[in-house]
Amino acid sequence: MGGGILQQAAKRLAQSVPVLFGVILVNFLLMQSAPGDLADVLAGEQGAATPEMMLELRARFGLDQPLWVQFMHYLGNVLSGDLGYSHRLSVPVLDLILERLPASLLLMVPALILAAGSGMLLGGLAARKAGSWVDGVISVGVLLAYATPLFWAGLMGIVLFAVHLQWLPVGGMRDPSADLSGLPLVLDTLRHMVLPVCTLALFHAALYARLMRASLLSSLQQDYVRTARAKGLSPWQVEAVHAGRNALLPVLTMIGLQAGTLVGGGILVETVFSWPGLGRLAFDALLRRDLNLLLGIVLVSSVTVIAMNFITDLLYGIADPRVRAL
Amino acid sequence: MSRILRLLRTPRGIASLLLMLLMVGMAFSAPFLYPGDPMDMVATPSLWPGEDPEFWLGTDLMGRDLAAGVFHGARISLMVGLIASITALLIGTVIGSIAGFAGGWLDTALMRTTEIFQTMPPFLFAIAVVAVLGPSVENVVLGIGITAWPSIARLARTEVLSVREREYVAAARCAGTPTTLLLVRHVLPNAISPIIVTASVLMATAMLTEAGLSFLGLSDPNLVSWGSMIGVGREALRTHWYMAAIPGCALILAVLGLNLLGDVLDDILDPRRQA
Repeated sequence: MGGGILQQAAKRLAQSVPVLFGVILVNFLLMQSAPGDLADVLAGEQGAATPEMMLELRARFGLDQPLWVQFMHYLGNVLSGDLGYSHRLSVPVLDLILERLPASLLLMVPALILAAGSGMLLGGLAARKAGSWVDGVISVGVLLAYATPLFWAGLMGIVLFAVHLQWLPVGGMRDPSADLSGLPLVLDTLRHMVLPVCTLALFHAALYARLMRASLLSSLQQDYVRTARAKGLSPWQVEAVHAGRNALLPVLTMIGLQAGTLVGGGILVETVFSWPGLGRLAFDALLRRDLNLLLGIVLVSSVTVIAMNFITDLLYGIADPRVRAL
Repeated sequence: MSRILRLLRTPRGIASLLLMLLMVGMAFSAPFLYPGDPMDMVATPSLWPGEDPEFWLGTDLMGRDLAAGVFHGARISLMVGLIASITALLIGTVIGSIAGFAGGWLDTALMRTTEIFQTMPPFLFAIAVVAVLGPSVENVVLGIGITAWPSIARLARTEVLSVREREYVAAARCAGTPTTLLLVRHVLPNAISPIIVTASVLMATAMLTEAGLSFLGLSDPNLVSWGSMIGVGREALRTHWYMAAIPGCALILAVLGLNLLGDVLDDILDPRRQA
């Protein structure tokens, strides 16, 4: 059984190689379509350059080579972990990204867990009480959360909880005035996490609630549920264990599919809450027109999505024995 | 027909129609109700809503009428949402239906391409496209359109796959219909309705993306959109929160209307569902 899962994992891993290649290609083409090349940028920073100097610069960076040679060069660089150089900050792009990635994950992972947990709970509740006022309230809440732009929800959260009630900090990751360490530091960071994590989770919680409701409703009508009821199992066992486990599958698929949206939403949420993560880095790169850095972030985020898809695939295999058999 | 009317008369149906009517009405009436540039300074800055009856939604930090901004912003938001979703719909339908209809290596190649675009985080990808090509309405539309099509392509492929083996398609094939005509004339019309239904949800997503982009400053600086108004209002968030709240409410209502419309269309299309 364990071998089956490993085999499945190896197969999925092999399938993601062409996707990764494609992502790198798209990234390269995007960089090529930017007006002006590296030589123009460097010449611009120096003020002026003679045509001879430009030619020399282009030759030095390989910009006079055919496009496919340049791509092979870029591909080799990326695969060896060299994402280029941020000419604005004079630091390798990968260093900047690795420095910020933990902060982003600190937002994304709890947000994903919160969204999946609360979404499945609310969706399950709505399905059990389908047609009642509880279902109605949850459905309206889901519709509203679905329509609310994340960054706006974040701003309104700041107005209510940070400015008026003063329960939570306005933004940032930790209190800059206090020099904390140990447990107080953890608690302070947690306090700073509440608003951004909830904001980021809002849309996805609605998504999973909606999906869970539909999926549990349909699996409650299956024959095996009737059998389970007939043999006298408790409602909890029938709904949570028998129907719930099967209803979980579409939700898991959706978590994998939505990984990219979560990363994208992170940019806006981090900008709103001045959270020092990848999204904030992307926004700064945008302001400084630091395309190398911006495209490096696109690349790393895509790899994150591939990894998340891979993990959900594995979970899928564990949750559904039928998938394993394939 | 009576079934459609019955579905439209449900609370959801009525709410979606009213909201859509409101949004389209705002977009069309903006030049008449609020002539002149909504970016012009017309009154005392930072008027609260209701403080001056002439500016019922108040003014922003630079003395611009928020009501004029919300009405004119409806034009940009709806237009960008509409054109971007049509772009995504076209790309997705073409790629998905060719993949589903052709099968074989072409199917594999096209679906792998779709997977690549689905892997790149759509919002980040849209940011990169607009950042590389420059902030203009056309590039925003392109950025959203180029990132939103993969889900449509998957849907179109599934629908075409289910239609392509039907008997009338086989009959048309036997009658010697050329392949392109077979796809365009016989397969697509029977596969298109679920795709059309998703268009309203696609437009809602496109409007949210546009708002996010212009909130970050990635939009035409000379045009007012709801996202850019929220971005401006953010600077006075502590003291004058209504400046960010009002355009956000307009956006929520528009997106809500489109999502509800999608639900209703879905019900109309599925004959098993009752009103």
